[in-house]
Amino acid sequence: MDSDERMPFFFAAVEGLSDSALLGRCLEGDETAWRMLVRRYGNLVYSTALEVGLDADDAGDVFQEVWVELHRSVSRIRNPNALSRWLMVATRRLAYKVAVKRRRSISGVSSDLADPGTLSDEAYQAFRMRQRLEEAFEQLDERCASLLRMLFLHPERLSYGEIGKETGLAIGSIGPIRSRCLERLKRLLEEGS
Amino acid sequence: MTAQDPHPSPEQLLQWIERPESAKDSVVLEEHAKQCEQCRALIATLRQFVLARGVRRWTSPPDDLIERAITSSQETPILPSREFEATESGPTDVRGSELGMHPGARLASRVFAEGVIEILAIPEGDGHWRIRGKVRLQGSDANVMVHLVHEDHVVATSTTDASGEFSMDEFVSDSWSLEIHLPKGRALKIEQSDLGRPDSRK
Repeated sequence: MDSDERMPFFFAAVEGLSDSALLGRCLEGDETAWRMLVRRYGNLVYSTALEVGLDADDAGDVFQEVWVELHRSVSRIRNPNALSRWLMVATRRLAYKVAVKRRRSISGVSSDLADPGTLSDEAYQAFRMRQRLEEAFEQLDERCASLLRMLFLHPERLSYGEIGKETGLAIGSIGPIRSRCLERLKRLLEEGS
Repeated sequence: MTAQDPHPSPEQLLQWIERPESAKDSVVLEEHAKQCEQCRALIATLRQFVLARGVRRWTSPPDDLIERAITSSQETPILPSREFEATESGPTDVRGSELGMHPGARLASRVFAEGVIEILAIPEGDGHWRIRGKVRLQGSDANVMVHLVHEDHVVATSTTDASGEFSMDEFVSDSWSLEIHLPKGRALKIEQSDLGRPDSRK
């Protein structure tokens, strides 16, 4: 058992720690803190690589490279509270490197990615907010999380009929459940902030 | 808003937040929101969804990829902090396109207490840099670590070979620097700006 099946026991000590505290522990060689960071921001890094146009294989390569870069840079992070931005900057640069090295013409993968200044505040805030929502979803039950994702984050507006089919919920119960789930989510976001 | 429920539904509010001008009953919703604290709180939550919808693909990496990333990253040592001891700076002899090299290329050398470093930096365009170098230490053939750094990112790292040479082929934004970590803990830093402006000395 060498993976995060150990999480309930090993991660309990670091689960609620801030990024700054986790980075500090990583500097002391705490492997659990490092695992926690990779788990916490894994989706953000992988999704950023996909978002700029890489396929799953290339995104996987970039994913590994980003964590290598963070590990060797841990002692230099100037603003631990902006770790998500740091990770996005590294992911975009490495995504561009992969695209160029493989001489692939990928639409949307432009040389701008190599320049940290081109990471727009809008894109950063979108990823940051998605990260925050997903962290809150993890504290909701699965039914609530998937219902809220389908209702409010799905790229296409889904009808109650489609959502009912997907979730097994009766159409008439979707509205009341959605209201309760939103209320719980609101409380979690308030606590988190 | 119905006879049974005086409040607009979250879906109605979401539509209004995203496209207020096209939302049905836009004025009514706006007026209602002004009066209704509960709806204003809901709107604040929904705005977070609207913002998060800017991410088109939120995808979890496969578990085995996460494990590989954890393992491979931990094999990479944590490098010393940027406040390394005794950064030495001194005159850098810079030559450039007059050498007939690649346009914009810079060949620089710097003498320091323990030896001399020579660097050839070639911009390939779009942030792509090829950097070659040689560190010659007096009375020592120890390997030297060289880091390519941009802000708080250690973009790449290389170790000199038996001839004292190193090379890097990386994508990095302007204003990068090279850190040369000498034996016994001393370090030398060469900024990109130390190499002069490409083609400025034609």
